[in-house]
Amino acid sequence: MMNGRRISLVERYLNGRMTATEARDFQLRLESDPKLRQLLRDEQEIEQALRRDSESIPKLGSQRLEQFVKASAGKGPPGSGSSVSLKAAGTLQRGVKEILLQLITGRGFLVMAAVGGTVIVSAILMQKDDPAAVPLPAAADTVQTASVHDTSQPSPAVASEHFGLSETQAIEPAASGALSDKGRQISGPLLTPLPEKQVMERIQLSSLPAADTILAPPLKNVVSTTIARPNEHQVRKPKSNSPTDDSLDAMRQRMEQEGGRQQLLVEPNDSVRTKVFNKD
Amino acid sequence: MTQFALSVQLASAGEKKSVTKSAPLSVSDEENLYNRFLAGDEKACVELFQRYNQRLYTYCVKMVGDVEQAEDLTQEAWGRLIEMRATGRPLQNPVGFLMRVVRNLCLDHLKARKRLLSIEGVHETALPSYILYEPSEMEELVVKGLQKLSFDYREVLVLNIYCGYSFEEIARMTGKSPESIWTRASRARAQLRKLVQSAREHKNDAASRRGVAGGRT
Repeated sequence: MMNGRRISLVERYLNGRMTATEARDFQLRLESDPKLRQLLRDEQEIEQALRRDSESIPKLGSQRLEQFVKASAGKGPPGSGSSVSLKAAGTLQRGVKEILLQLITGRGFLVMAAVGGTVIVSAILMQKDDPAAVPLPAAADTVQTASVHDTSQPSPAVASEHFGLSETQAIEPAASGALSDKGRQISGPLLTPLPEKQVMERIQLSSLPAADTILAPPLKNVVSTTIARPNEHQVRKPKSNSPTDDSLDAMRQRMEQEGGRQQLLVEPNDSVRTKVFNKD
Repeated sequence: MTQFALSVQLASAGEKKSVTKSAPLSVSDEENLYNRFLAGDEKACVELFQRYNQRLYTYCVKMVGDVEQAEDLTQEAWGRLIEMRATGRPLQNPVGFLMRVVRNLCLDHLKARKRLLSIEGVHETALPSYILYEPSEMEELVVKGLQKLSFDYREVLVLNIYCGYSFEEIARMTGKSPESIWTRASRARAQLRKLVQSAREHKNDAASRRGVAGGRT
C-alpha cells in the first residue's frame, strides 16, 4: 500500500470519518501492515501529546472578566428601560473614562501640569513660616511693598489686630505656641502650609482612585444585584475529537444497542487488540 | 510502556454516511441566547460567557502563546459582543462572530509582536509558560512543533483538538466548506508529523554525535 493511502486511512480513522465497514477493513489492514501500525502509533502519540497540552491550559480565573461581562451586559442598550442605578453607573464610568482620556491626551496633560504647578507654587508660597522652606525670589511689586514695611513678614501689629493675637505670637507663632482658636478658625486646613513633598504625595494619591476606576469598573452594586455566581455545571465542556464527533453519534447509538463499543489498541509488542466495552 | 489507545465506535451495520455534509441550519441555542441578550436579558450574555469563555481563552492561549495576553484578548472580544447590543444588530452565529473577533485580535497581536521582536524565533522555540508538568520528549516536540505551524494550520488543530469543535462546526464558524477544513487539518497534521519526525531525528543525530565524541575522548 502507498504511504499516502496509509496516511489518509489513519486520518480518517482518527477523525472518526470511517463507516463501520471501512473501520472493519482498517482493523484487518492494521493487523497485516506494520507500517500502518507504526503510522497509527505515531499519530496517536501526537494526539495524546496535544491532548495533554490541552488539559494543562489553566482554567481562566475569570472573576475579573466575568465581572466585566456582567457589568457591561447590565448597562443595557441606549434608550432601553434599564434601571436608573445601572444608567447612573454607566454614565459615571463613561465620565471618568472621558476625563482620563482627556488627561492622557496632550492638551489634557498640559492642563493637568498647569493645575499641578499652580497647586505646588501656592503651597510653597504658603510655607512662609516654615524655616525649612526655600524662599522664592521676590517679584518687583513685592520688593516695593517690602521696602514700605521694611520687612518681608506681615506687620505684627496688623496680624495681632486681625487675628486677636498678642504681638509676640504674631511675630513668632511657632516659637511662642499655637495659634489662638480664632486664628485657627480663620486659617483653617487650607491655609496650613504643607511641605512640597507632602503636596506631591497628595497629588499622586488623589489620582489613584481615578486609575482604579478604569482598571476595575465601580459597578459592584450592579454586579451584586444582577447576576448570581456562575454554575460550573452549566459550562459546556469541550467535546473530545473523534469519539464524540457528530458524524459518529448514530453509529455509536447503533453499536451500543448491539452490546457495546470497540476500541482498537496498538500494543507495545506491535500487536493490535480490540477491546469491547459493554453497556454495563 | 505506554499503551496507546484510541477509542472508535464501530457500527455493525455497514450503512454509508456522508460525513462531510454540514448539519442543517436552525436557530441554535447561541442565537437564542444572543437574541435574549439583545432584548435586554443580561443573564443570557452571562450564559454565553460561561459556555464559551474557556474555549475562546484556550484558542487565544494557543494562538498567541501568552496566558495574560490571551486573557486580555478574550475580554476584548466579549466587549465587542456587548457593544453589538447598542447597535441592536442581530447575529445568526454569535459564537462564530466571537471566534472571528478573537482570530482578528490574535492576528493583530501577532503582527504587532513581530514588529517588536527583532529575533522572530525567540518565542516560538520556548515551551508555553502555562505548562507546569514535566513533558516527555515527545510532548515537548509536539507542542513546539505546533507553535511552528503557520497560523491557519495551527488554528484548525487548536479549534479541533483543544477547543473540541468538529470540522463541520469550524467550517460554519469560519464560513468555509467542511471539505476545505478537513483538507487543511490533514495538511496541518502532516506538517506537524514531519516537524516532529525531523526534530526527533535531529535529536537522535546530536545524541549519537555526542556519543561518538565521548568515545574518542
